[in-house]
Amino acid sequence: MKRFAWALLLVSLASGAGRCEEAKKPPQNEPGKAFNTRLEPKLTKDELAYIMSEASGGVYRLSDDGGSIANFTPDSEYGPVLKFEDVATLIQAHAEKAAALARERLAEAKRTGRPPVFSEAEKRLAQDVRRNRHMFLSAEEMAVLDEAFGYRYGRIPAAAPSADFDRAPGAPGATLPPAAVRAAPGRAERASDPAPSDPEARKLYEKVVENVSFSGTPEEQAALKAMLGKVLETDSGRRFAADFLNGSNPGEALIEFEDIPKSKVIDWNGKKIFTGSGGHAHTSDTPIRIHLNRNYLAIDDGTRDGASTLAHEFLGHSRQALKARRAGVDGALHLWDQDEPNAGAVGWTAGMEMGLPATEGWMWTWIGDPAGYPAALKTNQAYYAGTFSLDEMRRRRTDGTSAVPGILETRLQNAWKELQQQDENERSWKRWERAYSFFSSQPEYKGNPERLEGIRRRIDGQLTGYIPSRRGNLEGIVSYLGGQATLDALRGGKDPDTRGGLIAHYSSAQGQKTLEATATAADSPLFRTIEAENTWMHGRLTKLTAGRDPSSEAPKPPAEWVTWEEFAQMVRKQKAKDPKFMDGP
Amino acid sequence: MKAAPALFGLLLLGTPVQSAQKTMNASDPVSAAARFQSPAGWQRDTGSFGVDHFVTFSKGSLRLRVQLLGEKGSRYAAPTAFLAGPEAKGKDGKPPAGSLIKAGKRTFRVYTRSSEAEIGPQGMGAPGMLRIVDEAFAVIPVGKRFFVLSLTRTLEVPPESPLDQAPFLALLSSFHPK
Repeated sequence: MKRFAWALLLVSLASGAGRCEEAKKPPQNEPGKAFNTRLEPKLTKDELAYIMSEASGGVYRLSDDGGSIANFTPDSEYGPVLKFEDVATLIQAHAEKAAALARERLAEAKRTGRPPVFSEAEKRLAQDVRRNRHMFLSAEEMAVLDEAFGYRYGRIPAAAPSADFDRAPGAPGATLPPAAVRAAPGRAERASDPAPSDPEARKLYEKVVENVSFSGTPEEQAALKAMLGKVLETDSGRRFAADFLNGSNPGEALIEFEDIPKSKVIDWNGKKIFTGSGGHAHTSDTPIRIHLNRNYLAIDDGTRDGASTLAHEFLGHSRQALKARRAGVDGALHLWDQDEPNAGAVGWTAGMEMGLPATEGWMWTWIGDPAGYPAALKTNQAYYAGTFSLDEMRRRRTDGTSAVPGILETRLQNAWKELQQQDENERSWKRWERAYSFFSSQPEYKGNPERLEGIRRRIDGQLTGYIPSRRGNLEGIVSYLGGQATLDALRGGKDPDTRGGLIAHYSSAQGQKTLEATATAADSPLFRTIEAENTWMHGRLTKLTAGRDPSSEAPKPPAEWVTWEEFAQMVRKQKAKDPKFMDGP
Repeated sequence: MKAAPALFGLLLLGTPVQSAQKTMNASDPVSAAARFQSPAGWQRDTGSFGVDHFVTFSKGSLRLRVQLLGEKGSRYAAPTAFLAGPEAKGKDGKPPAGSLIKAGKRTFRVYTRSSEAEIGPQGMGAPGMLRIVDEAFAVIPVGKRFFVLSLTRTLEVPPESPLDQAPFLALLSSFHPK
């Protein structure tokens, strides 16, 4: 009921009221009044057909002028006119029906082992529901639609090497151990001997295995050790493993698999990948628990992919967290905005050295602008929005207190503006969508719609996949920084006088005390060392990725597909002839 | 990714919204080495990557940055290394050519580049955000060090118009090494 009421509000807002500042808003239906089919939100053809059919559970008729819908009764033929709320109930039922259809087909696919089959009409319906009626769906229903149609907007993975990583081809420019020390292809005993072949690397591997703990079934522990072996075959892996061992005690870190919620194995162009997080490091625990997504066991090239994530969580976060504990600055490390880039760079460097394809977007973002990278993370997820540069840790207000609450207030306002920007982004993507619709109806493409498939996937992926998830993340940032009441008030068009969340915490006496300790810790030699490491890894990754680019290492789309650059060119030419062709009604 | 901290102990009592209390202006190495005008209405900030310091001015999707490089321990020892590196190359992977542009009374070589990445929450394989970055930048050597001044526009949607360089040219024309 709560979802329905919220959906009702969102539908009325989404129709134009309150979200845009344009002078003209389309006329709209209002709660409590008779529903007018000519006003926003307009019913789709599918929704109207559903309402008029027996499937809706009622007997409804359109008025003679088509402007209203009423309950049909034998006495009057045209009975009480439906109100906005009544129609919204039917819209919700229709949206839920689309999700139910997807759920049913997925279950059947699981039973039969054959991929789910949807007609073109069903695909279009599901896209339309996911994009325009998502506010009527529960998180589970949205997830079902995403799973059923996830291939439409999943990331294009790297070219699929052999599932046996020993035979996987090295990516161009990769630094691989010399052939003499690599295992001969096809060694079946690799499963029982995960250690590197190189004698020095093997010694280091054995020291690490004695130091850390592994948990899980024997097969899972063997898989984790194989990933560790892969990491220690790399130069950087050995460098950071030696650093980890220096000063650490046995049993301070534990490595195991974890089932991560909402993570699913999906088939992407013949390669199995998974969605969701690769893993976490619980660095405040004792021992530090390093969790890798159990789905690494189920995907293609899972050992190498998992090894890169293991390097990130173990030799990145956990190594630095233990060093920070020994130095008494672990609280400050937790709040430092270079901890995540450091762990990221450790994982990417090991990944490139072991021959993984260079397709990770965040890696290219960091290499292309390491100074600007922390700012990009802070508007991506709530956790990072609460981290600070060393400069910010030291910054003070004129009254001598820490400037952090004010810094967070600025971030909250920026996140709110970015959230509102998503409405504009959505309108922009819909302009591109109208361009797509225009060209797909032209004779050149009407008979061969596959040519525009790449364009359709990109646009659909943003509208149904990324933008909703981005909105969720930005709302999460606002509520994390200022409290749920602040988010609710901003949604209602007001800005409250008070803040909760992290801003309230750091404004309190306890929070200010934490910030004092953090400001002192900012001068720690450990942080200087990590900064120097980051600079070294930036140079290393620059060399490892020289001459490479992500698109050339991803599987090529079919040659007949129009590329985005070609499509943008087509749009520019058409706009020159007809500047309004992307404009909406 | 690190596990998010448990904030169960957070006070839920409201705290007054932070007024625009002034911060004490700590000196930053960039402002100590050069004069330049802060554009009105843009958010000013300072930061560093290792020994490389920068000052930024942000407004919406735009960011102006004055970065000081070439110190001992810098990620680039000289302008030539910067121009040959990944922070100067565009989508085609080639070093930029640049063109001479007048800003104020002086002429600068201004380079442009654009890049695009599909990123999601770190480590996640879900549908990703498009991060489309258009940039104009100039490299100004001063002794053994050098400045990189830049204007960046970061969008999540393919742009329909080119980057307007006016704020960048205004920054360039106000920039004077000390």
